[in-house]
Amino acid sequence: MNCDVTRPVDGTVVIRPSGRLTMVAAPALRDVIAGAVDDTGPRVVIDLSDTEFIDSSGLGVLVAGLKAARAAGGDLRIAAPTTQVVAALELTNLHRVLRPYPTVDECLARP
Amino acid sequence: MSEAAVRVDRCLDAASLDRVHQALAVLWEKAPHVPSADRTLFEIAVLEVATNIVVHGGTATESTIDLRASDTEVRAELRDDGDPAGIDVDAAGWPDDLAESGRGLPMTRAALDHFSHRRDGAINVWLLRRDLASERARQG
Repeated sequence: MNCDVTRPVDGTVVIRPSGRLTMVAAPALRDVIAGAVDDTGPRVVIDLSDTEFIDSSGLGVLVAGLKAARAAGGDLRIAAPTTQVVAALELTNLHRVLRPYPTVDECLARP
Repeated sequence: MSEAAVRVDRCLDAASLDRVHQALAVLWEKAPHVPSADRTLFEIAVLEVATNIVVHGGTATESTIDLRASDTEVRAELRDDGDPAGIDVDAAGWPDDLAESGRGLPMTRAALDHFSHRRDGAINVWLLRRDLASERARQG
């Protein structure tokens, strides 16, 4: 899976994985998040608008990323989840932990 | 309607999981009446079990995934000749909110109306069934 990484605001990185976030792709995203926290700072936004499918491995990486960002003094937010991702988050109650924003801009606008 | 059916053979490695997604897409073409929400949750469940077989199947050399859709339900039977799965599907509870693993089996169970595993001789057999929204409404 490809990951697009941008830094629209100082200290914040937006990561947009594309395709299926599953057992195969999850380790790579975990590395991208860890690298971004090290390089840029602990405020991470995961743009899920291009994630057509997520499974338990993918959800685990988002949670791992949240913990890494918080451990570094920041936070991880998710934005623009596709219908399938919303279903997976609600099935697991992770929508209460990860609390998706409708858009990346709304994510960035909130302090 | 007659039942729609699609089969996937030898899904034994990570790259093969794409074929399961493709097979489900074909199933939905054959069974367009299946509501979107049922498709989504069924796909989550099937992929979790298929992935489990890939990750934990160990010595498996053969596997089949039979996917079916009728007027009232969608169901899957996954069979493999690998090591005994050794999983109690009913006992798997949810992990803590911040756990990084352990969601696969409870997710699967939550997405389905029936989820079971049995050992049939040297074969692991997983049965997955989700009743369609219309059938749920009829049952009340």
